[in-house]
Parts: sequence; C-alpha cells; structure tokens
Amino acid sequence: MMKPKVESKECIVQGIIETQHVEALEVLLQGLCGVQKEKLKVHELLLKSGSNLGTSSEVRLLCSLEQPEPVWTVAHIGGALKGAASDQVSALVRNREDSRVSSNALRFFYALGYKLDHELLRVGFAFHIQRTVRITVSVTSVHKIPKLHAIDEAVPVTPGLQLVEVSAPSTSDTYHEAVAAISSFSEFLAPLLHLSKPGVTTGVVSTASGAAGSLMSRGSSKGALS
Amino acid sequence: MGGAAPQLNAGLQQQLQQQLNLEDVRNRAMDLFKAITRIREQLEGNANVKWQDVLSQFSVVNVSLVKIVDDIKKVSKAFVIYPKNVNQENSTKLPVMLSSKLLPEMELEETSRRQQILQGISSLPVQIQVEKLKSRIDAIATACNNAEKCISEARKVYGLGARHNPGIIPQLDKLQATKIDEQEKLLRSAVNSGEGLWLPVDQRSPPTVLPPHLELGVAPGDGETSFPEAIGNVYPRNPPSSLSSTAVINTGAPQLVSSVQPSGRSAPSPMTATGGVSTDNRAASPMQYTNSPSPQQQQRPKMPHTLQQSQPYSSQQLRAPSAYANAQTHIPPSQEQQNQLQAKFQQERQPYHSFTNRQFSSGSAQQHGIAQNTQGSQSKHHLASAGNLANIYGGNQNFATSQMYNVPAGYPRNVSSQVFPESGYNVGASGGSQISSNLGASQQHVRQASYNAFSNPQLAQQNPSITNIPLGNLTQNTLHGQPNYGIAPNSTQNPNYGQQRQPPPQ
Repeated sequence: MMKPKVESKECIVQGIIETQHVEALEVLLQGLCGVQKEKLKVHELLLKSGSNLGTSSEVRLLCSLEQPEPVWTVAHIGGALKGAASDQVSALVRNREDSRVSSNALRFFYALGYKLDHELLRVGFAFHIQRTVRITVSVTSVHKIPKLHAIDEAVPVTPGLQLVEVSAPSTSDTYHEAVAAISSFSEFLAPLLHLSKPGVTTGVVSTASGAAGSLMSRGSSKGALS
Repeated sequence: MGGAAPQLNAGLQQQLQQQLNLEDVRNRAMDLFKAITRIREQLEGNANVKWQDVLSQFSVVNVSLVKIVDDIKKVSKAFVIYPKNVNQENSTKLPVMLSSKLLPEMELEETSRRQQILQGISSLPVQIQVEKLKSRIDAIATACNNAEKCISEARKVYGLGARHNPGIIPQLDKLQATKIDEQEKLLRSAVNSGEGLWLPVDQRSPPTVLPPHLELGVAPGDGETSFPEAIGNVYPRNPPSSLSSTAVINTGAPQLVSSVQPSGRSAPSPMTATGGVSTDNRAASPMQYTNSPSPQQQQRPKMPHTLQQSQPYSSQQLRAPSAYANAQTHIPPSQEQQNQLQAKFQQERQPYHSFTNRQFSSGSAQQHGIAQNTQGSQSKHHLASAGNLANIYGGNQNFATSQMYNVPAGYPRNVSSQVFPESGYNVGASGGSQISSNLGASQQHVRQASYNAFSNPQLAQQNPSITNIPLGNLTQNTLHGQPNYGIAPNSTQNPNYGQQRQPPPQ
C-alpha cells in the first residue's frame, strides 16, 4: 500500500547581527557545532507564475556558486502554518520542497511561463549540527543585484547587518521536535543575537558587543583550576 | 528548702527565657512561615514569575531559617524535648519526629558516603585519615573558588552583573537603535518578500555578458519580458505558445501559428545544422504518401537521391522563395544554436510558414542544405525542435513531407498548422485513409501535390489547377481558420514552387 507522501516542512527562525560581530558568531558556532563551516554563495532567483486566472505559484531557483561547478536547486517554499498552532511554536513552520535540477532550469521555468520576480545573492557561511534534527545555521550577507543577472555588481542590501537563519527540516507531524531543537539551540546564541519568526523584528542584542569581545579574545583566563 | 527550689527554678527560667528569647524565636519562625507561604502562592498563581526573583526570595528565607536554627542549637543542648501532649494520635508519630537518628534511607546514604570517602584510607590511623580528608576538602574549596572567580569575570564581561543583580545593560542610544531597526526591516523584507530588489524597467534588458553559471541557463531573449508586469501587455494567453522561450513576447506576431505549432517546439531537438538531407533521409523512407500511386511510393525512397540530383534545380527555385520569404519576414541565418533559435522562434513563427513555403515550394528544401542550409535547418528546427514532429509524425522526422508541402503563399499560416497534425500522413501511413481521416483534404491534396512534385523534380512546371485534385475536404479546414486555402491556385501565388501538382493517383 502506498503511503501518502508526508509533506516536508521547514522550521525556520531569522535574526540579524551586526557585521562587526559576524566573526564572533562564527567562533561561537564553530565551538558549538564542532565542524568546519561551509561557505555559501547562492544566487537566488524567485520566479513567479503570474497567472491572471487565479492561482499563482512561486518557485525559487538557487544556484550555489561556491563549488567549481554550479549546483542548481529548485525550492518550493510554500505556505506557513497558520492559526493557533502557529502561535504556540516559536519558529515559522512552512512547506518546503527542494530538488536538484540541471543548469537549464531557468529556461525551463521560463518556458513554463514563470517570470523572474527578483533575484538576490547570499554570501556567507553555514554550519550544520545534529541535535535530534539536523539544524542548519547560516549567516549571510544579502546582496541585491542592480542589473539583470549581474552578480559581480551585487551590493549588500544592508551593509551593516547580516542575516542569520536557523532552520531544520521536519514533516508535518514532527515539527514540534524541530522547533524545540531550534529554540534550544537559539538560546546558545542569545548573547549575540535574538532569533524570531521571519517578519518579526528583533533589533540587535545589547550584550552582543561584550559577547563578541569575549569570543574573539584569545583566552586570557589562567585556567579554571590552577 | 522547698521554697528555694521553686525560686531557683523561677530565676533560672527567667534567665533562660531571656537567653532563649523564645518569643523572639517564635516570631521569627512565624515570619519565616509566612514568607514561604507567600512565595509559594506567588509561584503557583503567577505564570510569569521569574525564577531569579523567586530563587532570591527563597534564599533570603533560607538564610533566616538557618540563623534561627543556629540560635536554637546553641542553647538547645541544655534541654531535652519533652512532648507535652501525648495522646493516642501522636504517640506513634512522636518518637519519629523527635528522634535525632537519621531516617533509614538517610542512614544508608550516609554509610555509603562514608565508605566512599574513607575508601582508601580507612585502614590508616585516624589522624592521618583526618588529614587526608582535610586536604581533599581544601582542594575542592580552591576549585570552587576559582570557578566562582571565572564566573564572576564572565558575568562582568557579559554585563550580567552579580548573581542577584541583573546589572547595568548598556543601552543603545536611540538614534542608533532606530537606524538599526530600519536596516533590519529592509533586510528582512528583502529576504522574505523581495522588497527593494525589483529591477527598474531600464535595468531589465537582457544582459550582454552572463555570469558563467547562467550561460546555459538563459537564452538571450529570455530576460526581456521575463517580469511579471509584462504579462498583461503583449503576451497572448496562448498556452501552447508558451512552450518556447516564452519570455520573449512577440509583439505582433500572429499567434495563430504559434498556437498550433508549438506542441513540440519546446523539446530540444537535435537540430543542428545537419542540413536538410539527413532528416530528409530519415523522413523519406517512412513517409508514405497516402494517395500516391505505387510508382510514386516507390519513388519515395529515392527522394534523397533525387533531392541531391535536383539540387541545382532547386537552388534556382530557392532564390525566388528566399526572396519571397525574406520579403515577408526576416529569417535569421544561423540555426546552430537552439538558443538563438528559440529566441527567435516568435519571429520565426511568422516567417515559418513563408519559410516552409519557400522550402516546400522548392520541394527540396532539404537538399539545399548547402544553398539554404539555414533555411533548411530552420524549418527543421521549427518542426523538429518543437517535438511536434515526433507527435505528429509519429516520431518520424518526416521532414520531407512538410517540405514537400506545396503551400500556397497566400496561406502561410496554414502551413505550419497543417504540417503537424497530419500524423497519419507521415508515419507509415498505409493509405489514403489516414490522411483523409486527418485533416481537410486541402492539406491532403496539397501535400500530395507537393509530394508528387517532389518526386518528380524534373517537372518544373507547376500544375496550376488544383481542381484536379479532390477537394472534398477542403471546407473542413477548420484547423487553421482558413478555409479552402488549398483551393487557391498555387501557381499564381507561388511561382517558385517547382512542384508539379498531380492529382493523386487512385
């Protein structure tokens, strides 16, 4: 018997951090995750099928430019959990399906009738950590592209701020676990930044400078048990 | 003596009472009790209570309790507790309450701890045991002190302050905070909904130089009208026509053609500049002319051959057709790249029919791979790359068929539309039945004519009269909206058609 396909979802929170503290955040994440960071350079194109007849859909094409060969992924990011259930969780839970595609995906989507709504470039790094679910923390500077596809001319949207996203995959049944994992992980980052659902502003954290300072220090303590 | 004793007792009591200050102790105990109750109530009733506050309150209570107990202990050694109200109810409980012996569990725990601590040294003399234990205690004490120091230093750095006082958190000044707030909103909206990332109209032209990862991915014409706002303007909602690089909107092209053609357009076909010959060859054999007489059918396989033979002949004819075609629309020369092809597809759609006219009229467009390589490949592209060939011709690249299509100039649109749906025509159609079942006979006869012409390239003259040909279904040419297109005499409109029109032999 065929099992119904379980919807794959993404639980995500976003936060901002001042560019000056990004290095400290990297140190912190390195310590928490224990793995090497993964560099990110993603050209993201949002395509919309603007049907005047009613339903329009949007699709994101992500081209990872970090590797020697560009890696194209198509992501469909759908609607978020709404209502009472969504208020109880501290992260945004939304549908997300990712799939690798070939390099002519853009033309394919154009052929299907999709139009380019906007594109942006994300440059930064990401860490992955396994805490009951696989959590991905990405810290990126978001760039806008002034001319069509002119990646080399991209400029940051906000030079002084970078975006931090903590996300974890889940199914429609298990999203509570993922959200809990994200929340507990977010607490580790509390000295440097606050994380919230996308769309909810948080402001910067006042302890960030102090925390960053201590993270960047070369360890002045003489040892706890001398 | 008796009087002295009570006096003494009274004196003692007085003194003791002062010392004990039992009233005071009682009051303090009561206060403590009230405090604990209050904290408990606060904890139970208030969901938003902060642990920090509660814990601090409890610690205060704890301190006072410890103090009271200490005070009592100092003087309680002199006394023995004697229960005043022993009755049946509490007679069993009192011993337990009054006993100073540890509870069984506690006793067990204590013995086990003692064992643990004295593990290594229980055999040694007591003094040494004591010393060892002391040194251990000292080590632990120093560790704790150091840890305490570290924690307090960290607290200072983090601005958390002392344990009980949150400390002074540096406030961002208002201006900075608002600036950051603005920036944050900008960033979040850009990421989540793309605000602020939309290109102004003047920046929307397709880029001249593409980043490497997009080279394959973007056709030159894709960028032009690939923005949602452009939808309303020009793009006819023609689902089939969206097959090709639909980003390019053909602002004036008759969509009729496109609506019919496209079925296979989007499928990238191996339309390289192979010239007409190859496809022709492919198409030639399976192509069966339904109404053609057997001799013609036999001649069919020879088509490529004849094609080549008649090349000079056809080149002559092609000149005119090219002129004809070019007069109508511009046809891009190079067909090598599908990119360009698709990008210009829209443009080509219109010229397509004329183009096919051109080719078909010559009846040997394929042969003119040299003379008209571009054109030939174009038509190939149009047909094959659309994949419609596959559909329509049942998977055969029945190119020759379409090429032989003697399409009157006046009905350019029909060419494309007619070419494709005739699935029966191309694919091993066994007989005329297929054709007749397919489309209007108009197409039929045209095709027949072209076929005939094709197979008889030496017949340079055109057969102006279509009337020879059964036109029974001409009126059924509803596909293309051009009824009776086949009726128009070819010769008058397509002097370039070197094909002879022959009535389909029966």
